[in-house]
Amino acid sequence: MRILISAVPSLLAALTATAAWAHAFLDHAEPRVGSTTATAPRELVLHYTQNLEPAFSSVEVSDANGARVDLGKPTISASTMRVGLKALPPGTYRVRWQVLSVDTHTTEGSFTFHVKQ
Amino acid sequence: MPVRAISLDAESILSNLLIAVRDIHFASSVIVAGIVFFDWLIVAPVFGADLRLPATFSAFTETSQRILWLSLGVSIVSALAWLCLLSSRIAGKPFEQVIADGTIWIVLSRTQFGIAWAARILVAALLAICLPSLQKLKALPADWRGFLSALLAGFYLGLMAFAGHGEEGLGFERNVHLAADFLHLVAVGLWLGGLLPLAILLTYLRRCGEEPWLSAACNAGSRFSTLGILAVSILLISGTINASFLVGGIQSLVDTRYGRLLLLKLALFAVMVSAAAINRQYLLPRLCKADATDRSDPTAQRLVRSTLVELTLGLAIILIVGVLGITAPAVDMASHAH
Repeated sequence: MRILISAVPSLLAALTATAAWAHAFLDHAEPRVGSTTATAPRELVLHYTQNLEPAFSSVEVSDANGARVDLGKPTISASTMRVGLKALPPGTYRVRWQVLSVDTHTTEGSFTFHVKQ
Repeated sequence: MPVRAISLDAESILSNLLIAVRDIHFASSVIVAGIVFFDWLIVAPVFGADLRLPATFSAFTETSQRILWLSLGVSIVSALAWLCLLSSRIAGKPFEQVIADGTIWIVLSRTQFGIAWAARILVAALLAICLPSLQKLKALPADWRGFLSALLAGFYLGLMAFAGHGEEGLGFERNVHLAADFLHLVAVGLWLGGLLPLAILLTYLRRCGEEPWLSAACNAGSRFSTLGILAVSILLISGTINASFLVGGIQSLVDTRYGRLLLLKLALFAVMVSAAAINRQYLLPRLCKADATDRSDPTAQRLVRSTLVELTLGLAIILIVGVLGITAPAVDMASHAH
C-alpha cells in the first residue's frame, strides 16, 4: 500500500509534462498557412499531429470564385495528406480539409494562401 | 467535402447512444475477462485438483458460467452496435443509411478501428468455441487450460486499446501509448472484473458451509488481494503514461471537461483502492482468524458487502470512461486555447 501511495507523485509529475499530440490537427502545411508564395505551387501538402484514415479524409482547394483548383483525390500516408494543384494564376486560394484520425475522431479546418502577382 | 446528412439534434442523440453502448460494452467485456482470469488465478488453486467443497464449487460454477455467457453475448451485440453508431457518426449519415450504402463495411475493413474490431469479434467467437472445449479437454493440464482461456480473454479486452485514445501519438510514442492502454485494460479485467466472481464465491462458501469453507474464503480473499495489488500497480503506471499523452498539464485537469472527468475518475479510483486496503488490512485478517463453526460471524458477509461497494465504484468509473472516450482529450483543448 505504501508503494502505491508513493506512486501518486509520479502521476502528478507525468501530468505536468505536456504532450504534443492528440486528435489529428494540422501541424503545418506547404504552402504555409496564410503565406504568400512567389511561384505557383504544384502540390499542397498537409502534415497532421496524428495518423489519418485515408477512407474518410479529404481536402479541397478553391479560388476566390469558389472554383476547385485541386486535382481531386488526395494521397494519404500516415499523418501526411497531399493533393496536386492545377496551374494557379496569381490570387488567393482557400483550403478546406476534413480528416478522420485513427482514434476515430473527425476534425476539420480551413486556411488561405496567396500566389504573388 | 462530404456533406453531413444528420441534424445537430440527431448527432447529439447519436453521441449519447454511443456513450451508453460504450459503457455496456466496457462493463460486459470486463466481466467476461474478469471471470476467466478469476477461474484461472483464484478458483483453480483454491478448490484444488481433489475438488474439495463440491456443492460450493458446483453452485459457484453454475452462476459464474451463466454470467460469463450472458456477458459475452451482451459484449458481442454491443460491439456491433458500437460499430454501427460510430460509422454513422464518422460519415454523418443516419444509422440505417450507413448499413444500406456499405459505409459500415468501409469502416470495418479500411480503418484501424474496424480492423481491431474485426479481430476482437474473431477472438470473441474463438472464446465462445474454445471455453467449453477447453473445459472438457482433460488431456491438457488445468493450468494450461486456464492460461489459454485467460490469454484469449485478455486479448479480447486489451484490443479495445485500438478503439480510441490509445491511438494518440505518432511512431514510437504511439506504440508506447497503445501498450500502456492494453495493459491498463487487462489490469481492469483482473481487478474490477474479478470483484463480481469474488462476491459470488464468498457468498456461496458461507451459504453452503462445507468444510473447510472458512479457510477457502481466506485463501480466495488473500489471493485476490495480492492480485489486486498487482493490478492497481499496473493501473497506476499505465494510467500515468496515458495521462502524460492525453492531459497536457495540471491546469488542463481543471480547465477542460476531459480533465474534470479524469479527476472524478481518479477520485473514485482512490476510494476503490481505500476500500480494497480496508479489506486487506482489517476484514481479511479477521476472516482468516474467525471460528469456522461460528456461522453467525459477520466478517464474511462484511467482506462481500465491501466487495460489492468496490464493484459499484468500478461501474461508476466505467460510466465515466464511456464519456471520456468521445471527449476531446485535455491536451487538445489546452493546445487550441492558445
